[in-house]
Amino acid sequence: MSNLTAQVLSEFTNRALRVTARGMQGLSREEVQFRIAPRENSIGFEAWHILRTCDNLVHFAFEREQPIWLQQSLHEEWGLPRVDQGTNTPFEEVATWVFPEGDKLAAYATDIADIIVPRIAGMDEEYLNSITRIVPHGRLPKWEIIGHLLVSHSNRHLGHISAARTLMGKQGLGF
Amino acid sequence: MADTNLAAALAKFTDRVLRWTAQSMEDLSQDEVHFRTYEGQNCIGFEAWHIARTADNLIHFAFEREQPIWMSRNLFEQWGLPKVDQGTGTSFDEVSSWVFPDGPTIAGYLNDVADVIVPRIAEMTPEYLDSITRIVPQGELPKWEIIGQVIINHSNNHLGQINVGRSMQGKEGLGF
Repeated sequence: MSNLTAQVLSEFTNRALRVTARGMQGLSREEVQFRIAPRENSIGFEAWHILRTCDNLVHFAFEREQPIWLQQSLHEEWGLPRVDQGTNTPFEEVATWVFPEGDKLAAYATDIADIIVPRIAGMDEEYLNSITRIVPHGRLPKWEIIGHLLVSHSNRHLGHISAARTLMGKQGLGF
Repeated sequence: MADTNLAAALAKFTDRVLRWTAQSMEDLSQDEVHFRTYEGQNCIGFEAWHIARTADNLIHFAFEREQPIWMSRNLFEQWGLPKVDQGTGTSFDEVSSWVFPDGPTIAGYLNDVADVIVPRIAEMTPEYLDSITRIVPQGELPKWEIIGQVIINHSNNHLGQINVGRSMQGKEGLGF
């Protein structure tokens, strides 16, 4: 995989993160806790999970650097888990988590995009082809982790957020 | 912008979203395919059909002016659905009158689309991926962007909505 591939992956990562920010902007704290159905995750969780996943993979999984989540002490400020990013966390546990108002989630999305999008765009062929082990997927080249988890996975959760926004009488995310 | 490795990556992510959408339909009855997460939302059968029709139409018709599988196999006649309309921008009132077949039939179409278009995407040259195609409503875009945004990202958006519809019916979610 070349750095041309990196430019495409960075562009689609940027779109996913900016749309996530747009999906949260202006939502009250109460609206962020909205669930499509009683056993579905809140849309705040859906957005937070997209963001934590992107932040964690590019910073910690790839480089063993602190994610923005820890750098900005958001885990303390928001009263949410320090390490857990919501992957396979039981519904009963997630259901107790309370997320901040939409503008704060949107700001976290924008902060991540501002840092990781140029970083992805600058990844060279050797780096993109190098292997990282992630849980639960196992050992994968970085280009596949970015494409599968930062881009495709984020877009699936954005589908959930868009449906929930429509149900709340808000504008959908337009796809 | 494009290179041959990019084609391989686009093919892989296209394959995943089409196969996963097929998996999301495989165990659904015709009644379950018509489940809506709420009144006013499209049924999950529409979401899956729209994913398949969009990918089929773009790679065959928009890129090459070839007949999509939808027409070459007369699925529009067999299923009693529109010949040309792929559901983009179609009004809810119109879509809500459409009746979709059972899940395994929709899954069969999704797998057929994947079988044909994934190897084709994998072999696209840098020049081809960089060449411009006009699509509605997005306008003129390079093919790499159409595949990435409209086939991969847009399909995953709809797949996320299908997943909600499955969970609400007590079916196993798709695990993401």
